[in-house]
Amino acid sequence: MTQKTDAATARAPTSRELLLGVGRAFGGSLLFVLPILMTMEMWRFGMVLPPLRLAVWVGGALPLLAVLARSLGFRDTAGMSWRDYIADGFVAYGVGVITTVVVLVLFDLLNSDRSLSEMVGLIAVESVPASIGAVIARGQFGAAAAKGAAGSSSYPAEILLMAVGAAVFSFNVAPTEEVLLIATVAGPVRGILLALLTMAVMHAVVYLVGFRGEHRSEASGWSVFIGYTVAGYATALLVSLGLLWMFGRTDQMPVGVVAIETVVLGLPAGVGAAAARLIL
Amino acid sequence: MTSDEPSDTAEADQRRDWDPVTFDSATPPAEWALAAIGAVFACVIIALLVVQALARPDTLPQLSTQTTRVTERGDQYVVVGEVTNTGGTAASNVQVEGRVIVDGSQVDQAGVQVDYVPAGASESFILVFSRDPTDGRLVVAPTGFIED
Repeated sequence: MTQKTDAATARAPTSRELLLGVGRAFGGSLLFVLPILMTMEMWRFGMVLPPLRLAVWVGGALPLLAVLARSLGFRDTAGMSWRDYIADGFVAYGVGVITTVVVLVLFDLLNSDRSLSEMVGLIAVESVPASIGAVIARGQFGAAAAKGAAGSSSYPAEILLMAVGAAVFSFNVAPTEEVLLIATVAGPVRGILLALLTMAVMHAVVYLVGFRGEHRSEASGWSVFIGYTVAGYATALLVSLGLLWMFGRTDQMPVGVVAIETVVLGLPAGVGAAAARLIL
Repeated sequence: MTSDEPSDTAEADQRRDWDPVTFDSATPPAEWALAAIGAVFACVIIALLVVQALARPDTLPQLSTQTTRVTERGDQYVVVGEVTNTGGTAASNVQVEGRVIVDGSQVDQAGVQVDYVPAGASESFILVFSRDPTDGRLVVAPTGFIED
């Protein structure tokens, strides 16, 4: 058993490293969630959305946090097991809840006038983006943001990365009424143009215009376009649709309007997905 | 014992994942404690939401109003009240109207819109009258809302 201390065995972080990591998590959580915490629609969603939808929201976020902890190189991934990622995911969720509660109390949005169900709803809806911010921060902002074996090299990992980028960039916009407003005035022709523009921007951001972190591929242009840009856009649209459903923007809407809403939110989501490939 | 083989194989990874004997934790106790706090938060939040979902059927908003006090401010009368939603879903754009009735006829009226009243919650409102509501009968009622 003593020979298990080879390169593949994970090293537990020291107390100082853990403290730094948790500090970074709080910073990232705040950085990511502050615009969302300061959006009126989000407070309203916490109070008016059906509790079961909020439960699905929180319940669905927990496995996602563990997966993100794994693929974003939360810690040095060599030799780490799923138990460690699950622990990381729960730490991120705890950080997200604490950040949410502290800020909401300071904003006087959580106070003794609120019923328990209102408070729980508010915390539930805001804690999810806060904890995603925490998990990204611990993985990205740290000195030891090493991408381990489970890093972004594999195709599913790249798609997941794009989904995270899409969520991060579209989260601030998704709860607002403006998405619906734009969708109702834009119409189908502008919708199609918007979709084409989004894909063009996504492709350009990653492959053409020479941003730092730009990808060079040996595969043919078309296969990269289909495999990454189109697939990434599809991922961004799925994330957009999920967020719109969560925030009740698809309830009792005709399919056509939902489609254009998704494309409208798909613009920030798509750009975010492409940017994620450069940044994360 | 196979533990002295190179453990970066898939098999070894799997064993490390699920076998408590060879499990070699990369997570210190302090981090497990933090994770436990996060897990408790998650469980409590989800449990409370599920309990609410079960306790509260998906019925239409059921709104009622109570007035709590009437105060005189210069030449105006301020009525403070609360609109309560005992239904299963939230109501938004809730219109509340108040009328002052003296000797059977309406002598004054006031209205206010409350942005939203979540299910099981109360929101306060204020109506401003130019006639003293205590001179006659004050009737305050919700007159319309949008189901959320």
